[in-house]
Amino acid sequence: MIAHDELLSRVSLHAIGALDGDELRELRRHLAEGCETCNAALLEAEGLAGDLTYGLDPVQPSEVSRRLLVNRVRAEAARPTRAGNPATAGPSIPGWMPWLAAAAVVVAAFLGTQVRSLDQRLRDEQVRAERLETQALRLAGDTKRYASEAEALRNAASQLDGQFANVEAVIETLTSPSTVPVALGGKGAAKEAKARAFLDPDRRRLFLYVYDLPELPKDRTYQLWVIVEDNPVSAGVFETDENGSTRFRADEIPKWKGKGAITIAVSEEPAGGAPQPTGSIMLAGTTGS
Amino acid sequence: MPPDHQLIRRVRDGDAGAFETLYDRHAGYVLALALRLVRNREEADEILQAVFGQLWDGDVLYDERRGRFTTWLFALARSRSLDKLRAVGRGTATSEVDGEELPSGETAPGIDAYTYERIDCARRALGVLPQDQRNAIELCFFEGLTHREAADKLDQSLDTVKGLIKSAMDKMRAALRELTAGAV
Repeated sequence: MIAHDELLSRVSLHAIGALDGDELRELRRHLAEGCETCNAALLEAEGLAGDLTYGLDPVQPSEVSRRLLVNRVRAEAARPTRAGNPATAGPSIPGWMPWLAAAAVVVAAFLGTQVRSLDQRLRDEQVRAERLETQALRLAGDTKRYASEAEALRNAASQLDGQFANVEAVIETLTSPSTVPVALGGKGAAKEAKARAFLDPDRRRLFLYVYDLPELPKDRTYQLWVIVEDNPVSAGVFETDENGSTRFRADEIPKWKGKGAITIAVSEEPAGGAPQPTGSIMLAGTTGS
Repeated sequence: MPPDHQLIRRVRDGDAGAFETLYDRHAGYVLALALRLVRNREEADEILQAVFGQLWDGDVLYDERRGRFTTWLFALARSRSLDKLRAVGRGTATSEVDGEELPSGETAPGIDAYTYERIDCARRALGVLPQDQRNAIELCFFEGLTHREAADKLDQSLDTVKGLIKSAMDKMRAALRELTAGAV
């Protein structure tokens, strides 16, 4: 009999396709038996394995092969007999459902006979509860220690609240239909740099994802600008990591009604930033371009 | 831009536009994965066509309860690629890999912001892996080796390779949690 921990330890390997032979057969049998822990672990590990693909650089499919496929799809979609495809069907009723219903009736009858013994157990639990109450009074002396632990938990909860609020803000903006993506290209000394901004005019918020900016001297910093009607407004300063990358959030960006172009730019400025752009522009992109 | 799960429902109803958006959004990575495995541009293109063709035709079923669409899509592409490798015999694909890679950090047109965020987090999470863990996991996932074959290739014990893979997955998991929790 294989230990459950051993089977669980094989889940990561299975998710990336590394298992074979008896190890694979044993795990598959175990999963088919319905182990919730291992099935849940596999679902999660498969998601991680899928993410490995994002470590590759995407490869542009040829226009010819794209057109071949798309033309076929459009032609088939236009046919009146096409009734949609079941490729993404939702859950269907399995054939074993009627048998399960019959089994449920039998189980219900069996459970009826268990009620009396459960009643006795309830009385036993009540006696146990009284004994526990006595113990609780003795433990009251530990309240000081618990209060300090509670304080630590409150602090952790407060931190999590902050993180959660941040995640909510990201989701709000990234899923909003009015959010405008802006691609920024590298300029001058930062020709290799790239960035993508997501501009949320309704919430006056902007998320910036930056890659491959050159390292700056200690007395210089990167500054983000939002330019509406040729008027640059600072959206904050930021630093990059050792790879020249960062993610940056700007709130209270200038109001923009969505008409006319808006330019997002990054320049290098003195440490602490400048009221207006004074240094070289390193990244720039305009809505609609 | 609609998220994947909305597009998939529309594809189910025969919406060619929704299918095109899904293709434009994810074909670049499907092709990259197939190319990495089969090392032959022509065969990788065939796999790309086959995978998306099967999605449209309904030959294979995506179940939303089993996780993200891209997890299913990439698993399907990987499976087809390994089938192709077995059919031709591993190591017989000798053509140069001549894919037109998009520059590092670039993503496909039509990509929605949510997928962009996921890609960004995944790349950063992969970036924290030490080289030995990354090697082990890439040999299995991108070269189709079993953990035994990977151990032979790396000249390491089986337990060591298992440990490297498990540590890599644990590190990625922890990094993704941190990245998504502290998202911008």
